[in-house]
Amino acid sequence: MLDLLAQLGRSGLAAIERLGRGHLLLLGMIGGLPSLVARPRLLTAQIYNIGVLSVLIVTVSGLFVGMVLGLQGYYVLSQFGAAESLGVMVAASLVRELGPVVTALLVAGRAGSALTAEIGLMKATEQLSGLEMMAVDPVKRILTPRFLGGLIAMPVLAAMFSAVGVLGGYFVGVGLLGVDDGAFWSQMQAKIDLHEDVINGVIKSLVFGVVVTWIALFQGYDAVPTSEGVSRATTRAVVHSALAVLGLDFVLTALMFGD
Amino acid sequence: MGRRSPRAHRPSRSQGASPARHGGPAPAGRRAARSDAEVLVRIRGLVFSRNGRRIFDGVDLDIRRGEVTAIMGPSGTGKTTLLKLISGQLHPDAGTVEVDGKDVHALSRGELYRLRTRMGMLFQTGALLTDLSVYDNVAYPLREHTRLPESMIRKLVLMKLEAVGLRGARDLMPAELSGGMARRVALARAVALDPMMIMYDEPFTGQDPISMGVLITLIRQLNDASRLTSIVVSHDVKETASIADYLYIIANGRVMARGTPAEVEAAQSAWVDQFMHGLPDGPVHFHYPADRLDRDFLG
Ligand SMILES: Nc1ncnc2c1ncn2[C@@H]1O[C@H](COP(=O)(O)OP(=O)(O)OP(=O)(O)O)[C@@H](O)[C@H]1O
Ligand SMILES: [Mg+2]
Repeated sequence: MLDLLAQLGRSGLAAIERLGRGHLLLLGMIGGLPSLVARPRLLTAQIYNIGVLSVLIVTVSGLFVGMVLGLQGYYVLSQFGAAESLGVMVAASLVRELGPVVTALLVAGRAGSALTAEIGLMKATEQLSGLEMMAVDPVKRILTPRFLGGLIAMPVLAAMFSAVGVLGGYFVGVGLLGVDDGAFWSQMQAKIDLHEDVINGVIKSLVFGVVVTWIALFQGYDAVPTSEGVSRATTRAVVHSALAVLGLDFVLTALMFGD
Repeated sequence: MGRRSPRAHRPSRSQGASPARHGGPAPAGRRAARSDAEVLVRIRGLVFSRNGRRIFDGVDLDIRRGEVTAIMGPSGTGKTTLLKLISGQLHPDAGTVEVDGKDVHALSRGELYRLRTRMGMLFQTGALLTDLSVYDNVAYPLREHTRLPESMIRKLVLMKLEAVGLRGARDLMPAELSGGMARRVALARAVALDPMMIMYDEPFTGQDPISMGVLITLIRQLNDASRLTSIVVSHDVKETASIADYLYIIANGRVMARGTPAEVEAAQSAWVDQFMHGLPDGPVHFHYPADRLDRDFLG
């Protein structure tokens, strides 16, 4: 019984310690941002790695999600004779929710896991210690560009997801199911609000960008420097990011659209 | 690069290698009278534990300027750990490590980094950046810490690579190198900034006899030509003893023997004798403690 309590206390302390290290790392990365001004190439390379290389998976997923939304939305809306509102429904669900959330999940799976593995392996092969010994701060040189890269890439990817998704909904709704072309677009234009929908969606994906890249980088940086440790860290990065994104989405939605 | 010139105010020593190398064992008096200015790294009462295991239990150790000091000991005694303590990557539980008169573990991050630009370290694994070519790896510290024009960097990099015999491998990626080649590239990188001190962690493992010989002379030459201080960690007793001015043998958390190679060779300790000559029988056991053999196999 006492053993159990001690065990519980130990793992609780370890978790809090990890949380502390995570926040220190975040502070370190934020502190490293100014140093990127002198080295824009480090940043562009990471925007390419995290952003450009994720474009295909994000747009293809966006297309399918939009098409499904078109089908399901039409089915529900036409029961109430409101099939013309399909455009609003598709666009609102994408811009407010599915765009930021699904993109964040996809990026966590594709780029986040890669970041964790990369940083973890750099640690395991002593590349990070090597940098330290060359008096180069690995947090500034290696982690910060990846962090900012992810932060920049995320909203852009989410916007692409939503845009392609709307097109997918349009193909299905207007092209296949015969919803009125003009109504689809004009209702969307009238009902989707720049602040309410678009800006809030962008804020969400910025937050997700921070969370996903931060978790991925921290898991790599904190990984046990062995192949097993890195593989575990990679799994943890994806699982934690997914949970954090979904949980935060609820909180943000409640804050933004609650009233 | 004027800001880092530790050599300028180093006490002048008689030209050529130390008497220990050429003149047999140094007179005991000279050793005892080592003045403060001559000691670059001073370790006192070092205690360090890992996962509850004492790795160092009161180690005192001096590394003198301009010499090659070898640190030897059985695998897993903490030689790599010692180098990490000296370079401030790990913190001791007790005791002090002073490098060039500064307590390494009391320095601020900025001061520690400034000190590190004057220390080179050759990692056991090489620790090259895998996404950069050999050339860019060696150029990395120069680009980070100097404002030299690219043409000058090119000359320096090629010079350092030439010294380790890998000028022709400049365009290869680290993954395309053998272990021994990677170690040599790492050596070129470690000396790129002309540090005052280099720490070599197992420089000889994975080297063929030729590059081993070249490396041995290279370490000695680098040390004497640019008045460096070198710390060589190795199990290769013969090779290391051949270039070292002073030897430390550590085991079981303490210094088991110290002295010039000749002094250590002559030491009347069964333990040291076994280690220096690689004998299977003696006070050190090759086997990790285990149950009786017959019980494991016939039980
Ligand atoms: N990251 C670590 N975490 C926990 N214990 C470690 C770690 N690194 C090393 N150790 C332990 O510290 C001890 C000393 O390790 P160290 O790497 O310094 O040995 P070494 O003398 O360099 O050995 P070798 O000659 O084989 O390289 C070992 O017993 C090892 O088990
Ligand atoms: Mg070692």
